Amino acid sequence: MSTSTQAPATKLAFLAQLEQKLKGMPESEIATAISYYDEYLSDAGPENEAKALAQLGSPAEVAAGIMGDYVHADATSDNKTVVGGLNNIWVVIIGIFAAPIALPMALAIIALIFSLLMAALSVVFSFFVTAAALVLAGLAYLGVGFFTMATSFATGLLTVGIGLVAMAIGSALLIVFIWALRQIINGVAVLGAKLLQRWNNRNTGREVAS
Amino acid sequence: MFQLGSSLLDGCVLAVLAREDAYGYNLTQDIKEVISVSESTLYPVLRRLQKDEMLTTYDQPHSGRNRRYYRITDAGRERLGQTQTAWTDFKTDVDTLLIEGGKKADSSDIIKANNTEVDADIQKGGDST
Repeated sequence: MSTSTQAPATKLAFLAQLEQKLKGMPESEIATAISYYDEYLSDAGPENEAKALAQLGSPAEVAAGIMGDYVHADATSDNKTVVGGLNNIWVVIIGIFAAPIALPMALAIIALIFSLLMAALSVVFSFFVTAAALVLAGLAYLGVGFFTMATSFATGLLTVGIGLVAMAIGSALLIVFIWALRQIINGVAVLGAKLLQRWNNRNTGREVAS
Repeated sequence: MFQLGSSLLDGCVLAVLAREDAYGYNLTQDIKEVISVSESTLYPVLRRLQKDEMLTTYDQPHSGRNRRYYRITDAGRERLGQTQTAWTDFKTDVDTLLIEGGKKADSSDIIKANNTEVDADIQKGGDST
């Protein structure tokens, strides 16, 4: 695109550059275009070649005209080549316009899923910490309680009781924690498998369609 | 000041070819003699008309190489007729407005209707028979 806008000096140079610029089109289209301009410049005659080249303009411009019309014709014809009703050019245009939206959107969705996962994990983890703390505190109360029993039996008994209650609640929470963790791991695994399957289906489906 | 849209350009090329078969260079020169078009606009037009079967090509040897001639088909003649009719109507309407300042009360509607007709022609490419 940033190559010189000056017309090439010779027919051969023009044709070579034109062929370069037409890359991406079907071979037959390129060949037809090249032979047309080859013939055109030959018909202009050697004495008019420079003038004809100047009038044609840069190979990039000529190529743009050819490609633009080719795509347009392809898009407006309702026959052959194009796969469905929606044709190449629209897919490209929609793709270009959607890219700035789709990409950040995909990132946002990934971030959202990740943060939800993290939130769930942290709730579960806090359960675990609470449970563990209760069990440990219960143990401590139990120990202190036994010691206190020597001096004051009633206070010691109360402390031992509190410790036992704390340990009971703590272990109950631990059970809940283990259960929740199992559910989350299962859920993530199932979700992941489903997504993977859908992805595979879509890919194979696309291959079949094209 | 004015530029030919693709359906008018198609029509002009078909009209020149309706007179006689031509090859790329002399066709371009014939058209350029009358109206200024860029040298590179004709090839896409020819290619499109060929794909739409408005014209066919044949090669003839000329001084050690081949020259590709373009010949109008029956479908091309039919299309040319349609373009000529549409153009005549359009021209009348533009004259009504541009030259006479719009005598008819409903001339703008007619212009609109004709514009959509021309647009439709562009959209359809070569499908109309």
